[in-house]
Amino acid sequence: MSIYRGINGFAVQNYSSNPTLIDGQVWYNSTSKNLQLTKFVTAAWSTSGNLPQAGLTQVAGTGTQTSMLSFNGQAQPPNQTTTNSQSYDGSTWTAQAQMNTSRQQSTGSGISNTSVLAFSGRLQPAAKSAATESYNGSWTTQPNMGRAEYNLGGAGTGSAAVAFGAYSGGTVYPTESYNGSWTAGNPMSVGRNRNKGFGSSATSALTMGGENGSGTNNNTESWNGTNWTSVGVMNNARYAGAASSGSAATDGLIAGGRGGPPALILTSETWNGSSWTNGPSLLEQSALGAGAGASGSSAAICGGTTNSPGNDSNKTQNFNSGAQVVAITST
Amino acid sequence: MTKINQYCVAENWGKGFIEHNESAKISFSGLPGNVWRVPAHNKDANLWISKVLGTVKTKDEAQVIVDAEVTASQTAWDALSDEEKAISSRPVDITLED
Repeated sequence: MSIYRGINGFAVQNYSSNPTLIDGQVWYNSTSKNLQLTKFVTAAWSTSGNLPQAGLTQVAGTGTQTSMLSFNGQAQPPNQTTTNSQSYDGSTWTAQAQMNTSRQQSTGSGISNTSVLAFSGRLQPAAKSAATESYNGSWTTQPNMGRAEYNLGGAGTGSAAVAFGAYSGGTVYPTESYNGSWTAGNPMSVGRNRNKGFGSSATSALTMGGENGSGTNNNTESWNGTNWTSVGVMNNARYAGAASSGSAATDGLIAGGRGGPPALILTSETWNGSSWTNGPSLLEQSALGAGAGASGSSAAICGGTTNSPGNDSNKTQNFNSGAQVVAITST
Repeated sequence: MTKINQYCVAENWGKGFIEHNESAKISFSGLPGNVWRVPAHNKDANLWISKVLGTVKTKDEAQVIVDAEVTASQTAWDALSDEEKAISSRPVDITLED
């Protein structure tokens, strides 16, 4: 039997958190109590566990591929707004606590499924919501946003967030930041609705895409906590896609949504801090689904609108590329 | 003309339906009506269809299934209130390719 030391010249190292990833490296993670290795994989989407609902669209989500929380949305049946929330571990969904406000097209921030902020949304009967609530195993009502809206972009953590978007009649509405209460700040440069975003802090975020009633845009802007700066364009103009909401502003992904004509599009793109690169297409249609991801190389999207009648998606799709951590098990 | 795509009907059961290594080898496209488009004359595509117990359809047969789903979806959208229409988009026709 081969011995790791004999092959590599050193013993399996013991780390409390994963080290910088090197292809083929094996180590023991003393926190997760797993023997792990680094494996490089080709960029691709795969199917994963279905949502508990028969169909769910206009749903919000945040976190990472292995620690995601999705919540609110329009559940099917009976095509009503919902207070459901559910956590995802990379393969399976588990129902979590009911929220306080039933709505769809809400937005969230958070880098794991244990600390999340949910805000804004569309109520039923139709009205914009400024409601905010935080999640740490249960949902707690927090101070309202300064302005009620739905379909905003969002970034940050469960305790410090930034919300952006909303355009109407030539007015680009203020960005709002949260640190226990909401404060209005400078608006984006480009007015739009249904834009998406990612960023793991309230002072470092990226927004992309959207529409303003006269067209779909591909503009990307970067937020530094005070101002927005245009930093490039996506290869595909889109709105209502799903983004890797838990990733840093310099390393993320967007997929799906609707394109220039309002057709559903399948393309994905990754952002490396300075430009967008086309990636593999989604396996199935999804617009107004929820997205999560730690980076542009590890993400998940779930739910969303499809072209089938009364058949909003309950599907989950995982995206992986490059260096991935794999737990070595005996099965 | 050489056929580039083939079609089958199979229901996505979730995890394991399309594995990462399958997706890395061939392109998949899910269409309305549980119709899936994968490359023609491709061993990996044929193995996947077999794995998911897919029912192979000709392009024309698949087009009929997709059209029925899209038409029903368009009809459902047309029946929405103006308010609901304002926040969604009418499903568009999908034309399958050989």
